[in-house]
Amino acid sequence: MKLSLLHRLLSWAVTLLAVTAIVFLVLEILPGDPALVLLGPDAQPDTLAALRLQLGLDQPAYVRYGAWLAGMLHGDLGTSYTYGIPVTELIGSRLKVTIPLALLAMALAVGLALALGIFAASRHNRPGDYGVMAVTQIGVAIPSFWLGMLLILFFSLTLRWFSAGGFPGWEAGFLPAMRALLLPALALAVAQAAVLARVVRAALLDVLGEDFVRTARAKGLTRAQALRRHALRNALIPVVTVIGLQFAHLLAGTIVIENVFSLPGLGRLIFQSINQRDLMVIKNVVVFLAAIVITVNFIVDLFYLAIDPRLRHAS
Amino acid sequence: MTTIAEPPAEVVRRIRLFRYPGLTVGGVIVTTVIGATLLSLVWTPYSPLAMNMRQRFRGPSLEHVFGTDQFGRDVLSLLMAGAQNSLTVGIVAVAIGLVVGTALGLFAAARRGWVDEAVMRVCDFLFAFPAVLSAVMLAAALGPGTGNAMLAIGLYNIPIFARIARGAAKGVWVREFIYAARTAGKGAIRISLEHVLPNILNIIVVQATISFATAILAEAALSYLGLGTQPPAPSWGRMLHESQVFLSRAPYLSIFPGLVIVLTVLGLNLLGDGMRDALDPRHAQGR
Repeated sequence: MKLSLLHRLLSWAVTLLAVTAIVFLVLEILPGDPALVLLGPDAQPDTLAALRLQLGLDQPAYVRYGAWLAGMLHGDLGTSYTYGIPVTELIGSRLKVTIPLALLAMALAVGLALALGIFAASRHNRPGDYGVMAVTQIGVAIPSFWLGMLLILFFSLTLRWFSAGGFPGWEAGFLPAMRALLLPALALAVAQAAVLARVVRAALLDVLGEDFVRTARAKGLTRAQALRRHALRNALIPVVTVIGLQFAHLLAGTIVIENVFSLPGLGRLIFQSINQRDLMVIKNVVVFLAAIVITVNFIVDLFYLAIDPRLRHAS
Repeated sequence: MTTIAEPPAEVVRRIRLFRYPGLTVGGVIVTTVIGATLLSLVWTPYSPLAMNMRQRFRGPSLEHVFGTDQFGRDVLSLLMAGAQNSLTVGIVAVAIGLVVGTALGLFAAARRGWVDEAVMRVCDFLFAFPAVLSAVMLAAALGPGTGNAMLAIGLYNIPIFARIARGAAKGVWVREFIYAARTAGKGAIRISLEHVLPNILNIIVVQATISFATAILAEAALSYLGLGTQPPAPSWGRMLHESQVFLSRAPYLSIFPGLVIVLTVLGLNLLGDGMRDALDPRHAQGR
């Protein structure tokens, strides 16, 4: 147990380090001259030279990489070129939108998926099951950003129940803020819910075929009772794994959906930073997002380890 | 001698065709999309780039089936021409993932031990970069463009193919004909290519179809963000981006490109799932 825990912790750390190396390589070495990226092709030579000095580009790459890592360990991610404030502050303020958005979307997706998946499994191979399966096929095929546009068209422009985008900030109160996040979260949730509903259904059908469920049925429980009392809890293990893996997709999805609804989150920040060539923000936000993905996967791994004793001796 | 009357050939064909309805429906949709794309290479109802300011924002009519956009361009023609772009990005991205991923997976399965472990670690690592994230990074480093979109989506597909190929290949490596091939003196690479690969090709082709669907979704999202196809080349994702401003004035401009994306992705997914069921009946029963 201890050994495999250590093994996983080590591989988590190595993966994180590799992410920083790749990001550094792609963003600082690949384009040739970061100063040129920042100023654009029309930059004056002396401005370029001055910026190079200011960015420390006169130093060798490994020194700059080391300095970046060292800063990261101290919680210092540098200062944004365009906003002039520390990147940590920038990320912190944007997270107040992105994290609630992702969590709300996750909650909606899980709720929808459980309802659809349980419904389909309890009506296996009957019209209700086929109906749910058809709905999930379509759900997977809908681009989240297009769904967002349709939601704006219907709920904002036609019914005028919601504003078409923007975020009032948490200062405006909890409910108005959540109201602004509801449509984007729904747009993000549908595709995830469709995938998850299939997993819920398949997992339930697997468990429903097990001996202990047959025993429960033999003791006189109806199919629905057996499903509720015995199958559901056992089916949740694969479901939780997929939820963990989907969180990464959700986080990536926020980049797109925040731009549809003009929400001031991390996704919009990274996108604006590309247009403003703010490398300092881009590299740190990319590492930050990748780190979240890796950490969530790591936690899912640990969760597995805790639940399934067989895995503790593997590897 | 008694003979049992065989059902007429027509009936047999009909039963086979409808045994996997998803396969049939998916096949028809995908064939239609590919057909329309090929047609657009030689003919579109109007020139997809021809602007006509007097014909702006015409709703769907007999003349312009899907209407015209803010520059008076015919939406149907734009959609047909845009399909070239979506399909090209999809094919190249899937090819990158398929070739590199399958090679890695075969290699990992053949060598096992630390090589296997290392390949899987690399896959875990690539997994930390969703397509949008690598596209963002590549766009920041090299400027946005179709090539970056292909590369980003391709990178995202590598670990998917590697894991599937590795899992399937491991199952093949313990079979008896592999021992026979080894006894005959064939090396690991030759066995992988001559004996393992043909036996896992089914699974790879099914995954390629499904990955193609996700690649089209990803390309649309990247082009919507302005990180994929650049103007003036027509693209489904960018059409949606441009139409968002006119959402209340001309909603049909936002609806048709989206429907085309949904239909294409749905068709590919149905085709992939249908092929999997048809190739592996055990899988079909469980669903």
